[in-house]
Amino acid sequence: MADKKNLLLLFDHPTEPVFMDKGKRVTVFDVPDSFLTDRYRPISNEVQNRVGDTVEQRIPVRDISIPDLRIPMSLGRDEQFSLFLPKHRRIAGRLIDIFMNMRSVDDLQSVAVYARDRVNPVLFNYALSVALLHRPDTQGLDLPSFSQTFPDRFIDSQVIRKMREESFVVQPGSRMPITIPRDYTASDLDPEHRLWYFREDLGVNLHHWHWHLVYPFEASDRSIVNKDRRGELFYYMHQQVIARYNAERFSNNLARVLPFNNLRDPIAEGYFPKMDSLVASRAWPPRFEGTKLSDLNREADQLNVEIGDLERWRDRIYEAIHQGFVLDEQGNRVALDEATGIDTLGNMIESSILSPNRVLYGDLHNNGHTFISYAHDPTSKHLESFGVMGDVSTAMRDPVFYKWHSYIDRIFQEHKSRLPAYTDTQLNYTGVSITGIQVATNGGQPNMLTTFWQQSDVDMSRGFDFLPRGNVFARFSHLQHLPFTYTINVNNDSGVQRFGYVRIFMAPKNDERGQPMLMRDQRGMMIELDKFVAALNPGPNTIRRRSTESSVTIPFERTFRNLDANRPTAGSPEELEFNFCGCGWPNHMLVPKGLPEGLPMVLFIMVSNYENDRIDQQLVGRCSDAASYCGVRDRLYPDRQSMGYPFDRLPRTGVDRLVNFLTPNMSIVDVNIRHENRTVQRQN
Amino acid sequence: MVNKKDLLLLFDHPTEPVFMDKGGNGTVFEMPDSFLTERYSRVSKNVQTRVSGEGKPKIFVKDITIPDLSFPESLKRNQSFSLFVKSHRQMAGYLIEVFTKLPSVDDLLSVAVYARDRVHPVLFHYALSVALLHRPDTQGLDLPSFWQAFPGRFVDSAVMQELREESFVVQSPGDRRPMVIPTKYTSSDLDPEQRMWYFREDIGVNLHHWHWHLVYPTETSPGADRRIVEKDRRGELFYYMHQQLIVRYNAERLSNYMASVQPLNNLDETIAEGYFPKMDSLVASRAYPPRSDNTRLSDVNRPTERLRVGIDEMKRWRERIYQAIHQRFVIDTNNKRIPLDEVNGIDILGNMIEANALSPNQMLYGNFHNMGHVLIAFSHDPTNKHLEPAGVMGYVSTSMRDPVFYKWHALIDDIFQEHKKILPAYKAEDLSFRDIDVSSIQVESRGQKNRLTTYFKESDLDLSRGMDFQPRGNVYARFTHLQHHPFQYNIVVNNFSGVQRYGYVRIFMAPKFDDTGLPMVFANQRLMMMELDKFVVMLPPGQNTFTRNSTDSSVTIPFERTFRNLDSNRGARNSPEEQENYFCGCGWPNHMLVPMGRAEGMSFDLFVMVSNYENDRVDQPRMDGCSDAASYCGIRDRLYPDRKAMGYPFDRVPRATATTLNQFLTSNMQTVEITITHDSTIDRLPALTN
Repeated sequence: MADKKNLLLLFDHPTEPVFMDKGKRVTVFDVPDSFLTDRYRPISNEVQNRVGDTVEQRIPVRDISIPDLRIPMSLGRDEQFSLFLPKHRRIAGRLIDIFMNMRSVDDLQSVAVYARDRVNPVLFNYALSVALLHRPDTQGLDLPSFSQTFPDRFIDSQVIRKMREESFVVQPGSRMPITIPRDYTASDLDPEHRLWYFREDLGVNLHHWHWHLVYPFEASDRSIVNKDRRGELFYYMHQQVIARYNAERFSNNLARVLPFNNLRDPIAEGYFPKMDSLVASRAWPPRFEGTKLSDLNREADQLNVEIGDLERWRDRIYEAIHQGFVLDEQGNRVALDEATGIDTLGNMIESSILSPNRVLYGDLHNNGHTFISYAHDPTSKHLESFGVMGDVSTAMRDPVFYKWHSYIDRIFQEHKSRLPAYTDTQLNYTGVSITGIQVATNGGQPNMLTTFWQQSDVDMSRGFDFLPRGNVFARFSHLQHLPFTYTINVNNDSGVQRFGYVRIFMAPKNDERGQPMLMRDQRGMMIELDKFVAALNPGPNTIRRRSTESSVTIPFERTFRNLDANRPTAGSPEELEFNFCGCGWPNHMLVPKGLPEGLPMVLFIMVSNYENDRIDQQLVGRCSDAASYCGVRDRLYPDRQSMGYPFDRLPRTGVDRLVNFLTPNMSIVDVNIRHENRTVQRQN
Repeated sequence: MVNKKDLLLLFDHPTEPVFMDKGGNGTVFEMPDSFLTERYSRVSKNVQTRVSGEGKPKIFVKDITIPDLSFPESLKRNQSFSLFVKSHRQMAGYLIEVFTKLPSVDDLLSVAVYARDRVHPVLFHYALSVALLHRPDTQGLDLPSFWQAFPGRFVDSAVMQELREESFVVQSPGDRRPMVIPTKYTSSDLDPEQRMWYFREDIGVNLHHWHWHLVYPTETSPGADRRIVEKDRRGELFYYMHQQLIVRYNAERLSNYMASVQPLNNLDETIAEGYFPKMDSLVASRAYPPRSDNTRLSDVNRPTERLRVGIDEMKRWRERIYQAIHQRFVIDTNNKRIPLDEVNGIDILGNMIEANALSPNQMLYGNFHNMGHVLIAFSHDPTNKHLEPAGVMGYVSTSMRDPVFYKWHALIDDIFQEHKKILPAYKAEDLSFRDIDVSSIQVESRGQKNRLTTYFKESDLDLSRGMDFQPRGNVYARFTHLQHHPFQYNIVVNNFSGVQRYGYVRIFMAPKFDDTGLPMVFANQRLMMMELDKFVVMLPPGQNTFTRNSTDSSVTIPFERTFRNLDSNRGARNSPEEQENYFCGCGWPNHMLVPMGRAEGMSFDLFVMVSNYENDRVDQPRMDGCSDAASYCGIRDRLYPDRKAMGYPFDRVPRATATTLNQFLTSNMQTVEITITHDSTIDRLPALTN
């Protein structure tokens, strides 16, 4: 029987033929002759003989009859695959189905080996990843990081070239890491470029890719899409991305990003990705400054959409929000209520197949990506593929991503602003009060956080195709902060043990004019930092929580799957947990960069009554430690409150400032984030 | 002593370190440790053992004191080198000077080996090529073609990746299949400009342009040998070669039912034509940036390239040039007037407009043509805000791919024509050749009279020298290009003078009808005259019949020479023929000699004139090598072999009485209508399978 782990080898060297050697232990698949493509049938033996002496492992592949792959194969291998294109989604949906429906791991392996040289490499990676995440018999597999398989989507093309040189000229062992330059996509003339470390961060883009891998919006097996509160999570995860981005803008003396309100305005911000797609062997097309959107008519992508369509969908969505209900495909009203309204809207705006009525409300968010990504060639006149906005693993690099998602967020906020405000009673936790909060780095001043630059090395060799084997490292610079600890003093006056759900947020204190923020603005900038359950004994309690435990983030090692290092003992339950999930905000981006002189922030902590919030389910070993933005695999979202609670709605009447919002179970403290412009090397 | 041919190995694998194996047979340079760059000083010996080893050829590199190269080294190796950027030209000038001054080939080899991993690869290639072309002790070397060293400038990036795959997966070179460069890959049928793909993106056409600028550099460093720039009638040749490009382009446009290209007269207007090159620079590891439809030019201010030019400056220069033309003199840097006369005027204007180091006054007349390339090449990032390299218009080896090249050069040509227009017309007696009559002309191809046929053909090119960091061995790209069946001219000339005379036979061709289908007005047709050939004939008294083959054209070089397909089709090693054959890459590619024509046939007027060679001849030692594409390229180290103005007799406005081509004819001229038919079947190479 096939070992399910062997399936992971199919992710290696994605554009090389399947019969080439794979893995760190030299491994080859014994591919049945009938599986080989015409091009390589005559020489596959010769190639395998060439590596033959060094082969350490051979994997038999069963010759089975292969399901019809014509639909997945209709996308060319050198085309760019995009989840935002309906045609590509259908193609991916079909391939996911095929992989899901194979009866055994053996059969899955056979079909995957057969498909690998025939379907588009990124499509293959996506569909196989989704299948491995969702098949019951392939659980606990440790998917390689997307950035290792397709480094070209994350790294400057010049660095790719240097890595190619290094692996050709220098033998493994003597190879030096190649440094990804810090500022390569634009100069200081471009104010937007100050955000390079956020937009172009490998971890941030990996998070976005992974999120969409965990939450596909289309599949013929509805259960793959229909996950608990996925529409709401779409809203919330992206809302938080904008909140975080705006805090980073404040950290760079820039105002909040302006939403892309008028689709007919030129987009002032240009973006030149400076990356080459190794799959398409084409550069990611840039967008010049002042580019306008145009109606799309691209036959090959089966796209024929007008800007007018987007405007129509948007207006209907607003109408639904203002009327408080949507119309489903049968013409029935579905109420946009407090409990499920945001979830309905999320699926409708994104849109996913859970949208109540795609004819009426269209496909706004996805099409926005498509329009922007084709602004340079809307009619395929120049035979150009889409720009970075067309792909979930690259979209966050582009300044326009945040303009677009601010616009999307504004629609969600329109709904939220119509919901009744949380009352004092709803917010309060009778008998429980916070008496003091503090945050501090190890040995540092209280309420002072420190950020700096760090350089880390990641092995990219799996994605270097047609090159001699062996590790080749990219060294990249990223933001980092000193780990810190929250100390929370809570009084439980109830006399019995209670459980509290501790909710930690942070937002800038002042607006871009330097004026103290109004609560109504500040709530939109609240960044969730953590959420956890605490047992409260009668009397005073001191709760300590480390920043590395955050429910928002995953550790650096998991973001990058530096699996060879820091790996728990094989077979341990920790290993399973460690392996599973790549979704999660990268921990190195947990707090915004701050300013050299310090960025004044306000830290907010609330302890709510866990009895009202709890979801009864078993959570062990299930990739649950970045649940805030990613949910929990196969489980309900572990909080009965709305995502973003208590800041998801407008504050009750009379509450102008955050301080007036506080009930006894909440507390705030001023925190300063200071950025030190120094670079340290990560110790492995 | 080193064999000068060893220098050529330095062109191989231009972005790999110099200590890697070269020449396809494991040859390595054995160099002093001090020559190695810091990055590789630890590993180079191990690598050499791995890639070369016992029994493989070694070339010993002498340890000498290296001249200061800090100026050319200041261009980073992964930036883009452009001859249109003055600071880059100055660096190239400096390096050329270093290379040409070295006392021996041994020293040249040492400095070149040292410089190779330190200066920009394209700058290195350019400077070393110019030096080898101009040093007396490196004559007769057969420079590899530019496409071999830098295929990324000529080939679709997707094909480059396929070639990489092929050379990695299929390690025995004999089993490797050619990778097909698709046709029409840069735009779709929605783009009318796409119809010109076979011209703009032809490898030979772009190589010709690169080579022309290699033979005619615009700059040397101050105080250096000016002869490299100061060549006979170089300004005029700049005008004429580019004028002929526009003529040929317009004939191709007519073949595709398109009107002549519109000059880019208004620099404030948006450029309607976008261009997406779909090529990656293997040196910069960056894509050649595209230009979207309707891009507007902006003032360029890029400190990195030390470039600063405004659209207002361009307009000022243009007005001053026009003023000089209309006043018939230019003002030099000493405020002296230099007349723009019949003999030298066009040459002065050419140097001034290009502009090169011979410009009489760069302060006053600026740097018009070069800066136009710059403005267009950087229109996507004029201030370097986005750290983008130049688009294809920024490099002579790629600029002809872009539709805007022709709009720009149409504008340049309009300025030259303004000068030509105010020169006195040639009088009938100046044009005629007493007692010499051309009684009949005819072209013949495959038995057909006055009918030429074009078609598309596939050819293979070995790109292995430019495939860096890949297993060795040939890898072929297969490309499709225009071709025509060879033809011959049959010319009957009567000499009534009773004595032997010499005639200079000048052959031109122009479309008969304009884009609206009406017969061309001669005033316009003369500007569409493309030169096909020019040669000397001996005319004994009486009737003379000549035949001349299209492959002998003085405009073109043969396919093999354009592409330096050295391994096939080459003469005996070191034979005089080989030297002659392979020396010079400048010359219009013979496969593009005649325009495509139309499927239903397209009418052209073929024009033949026999002028009096006594008036035209330039007395100079017999030329050796590289003289057979003299019309557009001149002759190495010699004067331009024709005393007449380039483009004669069509370079001036015709005399008042000649309103049609027929009226223009004197008895020593003749025309005939010919038809060019395009046959849409493609001459394919056999599909190779392993």
